[in-house]
Amino acid sequence: MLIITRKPGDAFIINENIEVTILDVQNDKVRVGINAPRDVQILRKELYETEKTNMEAVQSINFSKFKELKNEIKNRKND
Amino acid sequence: MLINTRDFGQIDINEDEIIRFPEGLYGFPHVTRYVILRQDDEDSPVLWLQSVEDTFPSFVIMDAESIVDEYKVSLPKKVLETLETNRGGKLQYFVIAVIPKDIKDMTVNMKSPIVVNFEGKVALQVILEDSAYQIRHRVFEDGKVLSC
Repeated sequence: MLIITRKPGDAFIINENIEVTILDVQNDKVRVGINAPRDVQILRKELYETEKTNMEAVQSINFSKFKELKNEIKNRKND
Repeated sequence: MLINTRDFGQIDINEDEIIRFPEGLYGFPHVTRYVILRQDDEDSPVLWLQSVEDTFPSFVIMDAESIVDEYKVSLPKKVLETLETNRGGKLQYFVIAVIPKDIKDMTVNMKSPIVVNFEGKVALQVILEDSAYQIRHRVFEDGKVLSC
């Protein structure tokens, strides 16, 4: 991973057309401004990951797995 | 009211059981009505979230409190407004399961629970920005027994 140290007001450029500016830093929070072309999708990572796991969740389940999980938990509870 | 499901065939549900998801779920913003199916054993923490509008999508969900002893959640005001908590109703938290081939590798999204107000019949999937909960939280750790 590339690691860059920047101060508030400093920026860096990705791929010549995306500009990321550090706006300010307060306690454990950093505000970041991004200038990018309209077709560049920018998502908070946790939102992207939640969408992705929701999709995976739908595709990963079926009735028999539902039953299996219920039984697994029932058995562990009774142990 | 009869609905078609992929896994349970055609089932008869009470319209009173329908829960509104005004914002849908992440990745499924247009599906806004679901029912929670318990299926035989009432006290199991494992439930089935079924779209009412179509056979798809459906999710296996678990009561978050069955996975960690105390599920600590603080919700922004805007979320509480959508969940109509001012009209009363206790909030309950469910997490969505991803179940791979080996069930022991399953994970639940503890960071983005489905928060349900059963009284108001309204729910929202909320990403807990300031929490350390994992999006892929393993339910079955080796040697560790689920705390439910």
